Amino acid sequence: MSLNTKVDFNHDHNQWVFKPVGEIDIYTSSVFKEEIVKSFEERKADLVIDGRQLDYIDSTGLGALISLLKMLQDTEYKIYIDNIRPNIRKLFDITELDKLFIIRGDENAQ
Amino acid sequence: MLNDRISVKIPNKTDYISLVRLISSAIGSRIGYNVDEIDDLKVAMGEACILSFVPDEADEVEISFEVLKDKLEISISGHKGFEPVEEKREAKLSKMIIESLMDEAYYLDEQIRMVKYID
Repeated sequence: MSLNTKVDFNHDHNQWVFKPVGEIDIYTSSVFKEEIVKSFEERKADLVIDGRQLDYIDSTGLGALISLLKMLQDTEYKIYIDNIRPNIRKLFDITELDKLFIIRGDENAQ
Repeated sequence: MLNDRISVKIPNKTDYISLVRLISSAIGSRIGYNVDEIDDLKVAMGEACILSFVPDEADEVEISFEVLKDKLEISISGHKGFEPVEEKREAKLSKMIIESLMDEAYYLDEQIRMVKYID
């Protein structure tokens, strides 16, 4: 029930990179979402969520990601979900969110 | 643990969902679930709690686990039912997750019942 999100701006690719470490759940999902919204408002760019160190996500966390997707839907920007672990990928598949999000590189996840 | 019933009453606060996940994990381990099955149980229990720990409802949520020969039966009080039209997006996600990870799931008027088989 803890989350620490590392935030970086990648100037080479002109994109925000968020690395959530821990759990995006009912305790942490609103702070996680606010942090990303704040960054996007500060500088408009593509959003990359690097899930390499994400241990767990629940429906409130998935809901937070959906609202970020909605925030971007009338813009030219995209959201990418990278390197998520198999247990998390499974939840995207179950909820059919794998069809809404661009999920990349999970085959390399440990 | 065969035919044992484990029952816990927990304050109706989302702060305790992680405790429920922990208890579920311990029970899953004791009855011989493998790592993936334990993870499925924990995730489904987390979602059932999100549906059941409703503010301003009962003071306590009662969760009971019944270990049978070939299945684990779980009931969680506190759930107040949903009108399909009013159902929140996240509640739909919760139900999709529960129904996929558990073998049976029932949303009754005042409780959620779930069954996971023991191989």
